[in-house]
Amino acid sequence: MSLFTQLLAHTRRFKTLEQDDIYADELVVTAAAATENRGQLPLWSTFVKRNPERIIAISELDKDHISVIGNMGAVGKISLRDEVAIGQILNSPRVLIDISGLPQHVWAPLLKSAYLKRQRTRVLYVEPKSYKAHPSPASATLFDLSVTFDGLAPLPGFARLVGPEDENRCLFVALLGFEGNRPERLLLQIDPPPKVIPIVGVPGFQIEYPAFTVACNRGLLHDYGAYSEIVFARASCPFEANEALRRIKKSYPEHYMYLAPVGTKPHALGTILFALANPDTTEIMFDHPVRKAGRTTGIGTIHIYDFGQFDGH
Amino acid sequence: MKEDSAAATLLRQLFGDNRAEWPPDHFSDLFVAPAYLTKLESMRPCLLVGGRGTGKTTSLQSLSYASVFERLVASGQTFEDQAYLGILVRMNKNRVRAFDGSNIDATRWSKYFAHYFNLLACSELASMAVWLEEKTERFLSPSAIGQVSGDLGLGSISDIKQLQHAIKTGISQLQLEVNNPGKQSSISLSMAEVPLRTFASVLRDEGLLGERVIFCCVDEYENLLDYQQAIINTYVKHAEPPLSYKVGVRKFGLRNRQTLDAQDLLKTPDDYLEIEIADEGFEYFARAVAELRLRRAKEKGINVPETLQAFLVELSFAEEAVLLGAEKVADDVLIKLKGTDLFTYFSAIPKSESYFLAFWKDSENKPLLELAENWKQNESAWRTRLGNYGYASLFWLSKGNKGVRIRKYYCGERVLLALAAGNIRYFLELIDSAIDIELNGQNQVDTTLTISAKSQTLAAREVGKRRLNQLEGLADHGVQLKRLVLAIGKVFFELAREPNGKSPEVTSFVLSGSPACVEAVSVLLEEGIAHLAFESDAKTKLTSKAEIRDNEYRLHRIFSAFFEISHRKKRRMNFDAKDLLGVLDDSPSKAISAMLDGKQQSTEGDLPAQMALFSAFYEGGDAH
Repeated sequence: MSLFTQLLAHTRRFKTLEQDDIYADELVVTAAAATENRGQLPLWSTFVKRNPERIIAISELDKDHISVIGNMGAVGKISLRDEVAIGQILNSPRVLIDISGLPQHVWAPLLKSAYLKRQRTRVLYVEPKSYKAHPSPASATLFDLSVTFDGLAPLPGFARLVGPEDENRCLFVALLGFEGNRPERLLLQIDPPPKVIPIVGVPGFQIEYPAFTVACNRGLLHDYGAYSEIVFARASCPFEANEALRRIKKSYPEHYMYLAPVGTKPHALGTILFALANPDTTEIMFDHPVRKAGRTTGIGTIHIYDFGQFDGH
Repeated sequence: MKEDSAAATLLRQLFGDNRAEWPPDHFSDLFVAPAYLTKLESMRPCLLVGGRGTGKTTSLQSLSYASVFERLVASGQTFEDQAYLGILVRMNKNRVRAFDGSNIDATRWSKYFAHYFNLLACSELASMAVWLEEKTERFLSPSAIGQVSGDLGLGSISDIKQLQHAIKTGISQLQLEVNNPGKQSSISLSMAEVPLRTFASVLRDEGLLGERVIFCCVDEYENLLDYQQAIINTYVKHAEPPLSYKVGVRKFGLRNRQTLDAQDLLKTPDDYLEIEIADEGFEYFARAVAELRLRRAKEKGINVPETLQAFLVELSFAEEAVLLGAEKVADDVLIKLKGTDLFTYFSAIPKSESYFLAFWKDSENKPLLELAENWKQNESAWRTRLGNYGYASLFWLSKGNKGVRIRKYYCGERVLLALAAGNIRYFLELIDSAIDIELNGQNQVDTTLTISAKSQTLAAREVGKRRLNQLEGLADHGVQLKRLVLAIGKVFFELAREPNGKSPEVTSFVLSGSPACVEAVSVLLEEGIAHLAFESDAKTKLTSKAEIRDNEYRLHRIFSAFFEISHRKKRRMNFDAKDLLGVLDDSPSKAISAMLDGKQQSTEGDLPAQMALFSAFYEGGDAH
């Protein structure tokens, strides 16, 4: 199946989501609270009222633990590195994980659990209508998205202690967003500096976003001579991002790949899946942003990505 | 003489690698021993302290067994002359941070991390052992290897290659464990220090080491979590021959002096020698590095001077004043004095001095004729005044000269060394950029190549701009640090152009205000010092957070040309920490205005082009 047909088959897009769009045997996993409009779809409130057994809501307790309210009642504290406990949360033949309001260090271990169990999985992502502009920007990063960063640390369950066999055969693949300082900061941790391959979301959520992305990252692109290496993948499509990474790997089969998913969540999703499929030759580099409340406004297109039982991954 | 294009390219390559002190392919060819190398080579454990780009990693790499051997061979010596053998263990942040989390208790994390460090260090020691076997034609006995593998918790192994393989497997197993830790550890963990000590001992006892010592070099120590620092501190504190430790750490990177025995602190000079790179003859070292490269260029047929002083053109005060427009100002002075008896007197004074009368008039707000008369009557006092305020007046000269490309020169060996402020990477980057601008895309060098004052100035500005833009990508709070640098730079820029005889060359500041605000800003400034956004005075010795609260700070000098302010340390001012915190909020213009006591600021059109790029920040949130 061509990539285009694959995308059509595996991605559904909605303006609003109805009950019928969710499979009858599907367990919905979503954020208990969200700081952005798009993090809480109206449909989930309906689920909580009418079908509470089919939805579980996740709260982040600290960077290592979550609490869960759902079909098995309230579970106080679950370690994000406890594969067994996470597997028990996703105790259903099918799961739908709404990642819109969940931070990456929470949804990535959930996805890993589903992946390892080859569970039927769909992921939902809601695009924002717009991002908040910075009132007094001091850099090429024109948007006001993060309060601060907790700094580089592995995502739970994705720690790599081994590193590359040959430090001179490494790639730094950055899935770019609007915060141009993030990939640079991650890249500076790698010595010697590897070849940089940026992935830009094209087409973007909005027509002007790809240009913004390049502008916000011009320091990285210039300093590391990476303009000519740019790879495009639809900003809202994890399959395209994943496919882009596969192609890069094919071009550099002997290279160790540092992956920096600092762009869109769908790109991060495709990256996490790629890392799960290639655990020995990839390393996720993530800087754990503390997101600004109200950094986005409105609800844009709703995407549901169907990964089946991860057969293609 | 006309060189081919390859020659100019080579010149750029020689100075073009700014990430390390030398391009990797020319390690021994371009190696210059830093002044502190003999200290580092002593048996004592050392802490090598310096900001990013000061050459810590390069120095530690230069201790590695293979590098030392290569340099010995290049100087006609042999393995017999090798006094020490270094291994390098880098503390990769993404990996050491895996050993953290509230899901298991601190003691267990501590055990996991010590085991991890043992495996990493022993992996390097095993590679070194293979190399030593080749050099000495002696081989580690199966029982010796068994001792090491036993101490590592890897079971019974009798072959060095198998040991290397088992260490890799051990790290993979540990990876599984930290990703999904069970209620109890499922792997055998080694004890802190023990395997390294055993390895060093068996290498000595079995004759592979001879009289040599082993340096375990630990780089990027600042990446370690506090409890991990306590573990490495224990290794350092307990070091004994034939094993010693050399630790590379960023300024303020040593956050915890505890050891595994919490009562027993790591102390200097008892336990280690502290080497602060900035205090160790940077100018001598940097000059030697650059001049060696010039010599290499000359050997390859490029027509360059041998000394850095000759290569980097310097301007005298008078030359710079003239270039900045002193003659025009002096002519205006003479026009105003025409018809008075002072005209003849001032006509005889060089214009590179007589312009100073206009500066002083602007500063003191007194009639020109009165000042001119005073000058004539008190020549000696005015000469002293020119000496004291002449440099500051150079900044004033450019005021209002819209569209002038250079409003202050930054050139000459001494100035470029000062701008680099102890950072070899910055120093090379300044020269590299200046060469690039001087050659301006040419690939041929026709006459003896020297770098003009203009090219050096444009390079200094360019490097400052590049470093400023990179700042937000360096530190976790890089975005905030960049805002602080932009705001403080703007304040000093404005003050440099409004000297008023009271605040010439203000380049430093101290903090005042509520303790909470001072504390918050101090923490940021500390991070800024570690990432070369700021400098602090010499009394900030190194690491203790508690001691630096009343410090005097300044912008890192690499930003001087960008903000067109003095690179010299002259006078300081007071900033209310509340205003500096205000810079981080949405309306930095208000905070900057408060820092300048509401003083009139340059319009966007009056700002130098490189600063005007940030007008969205300077005017953001609230107009002046």
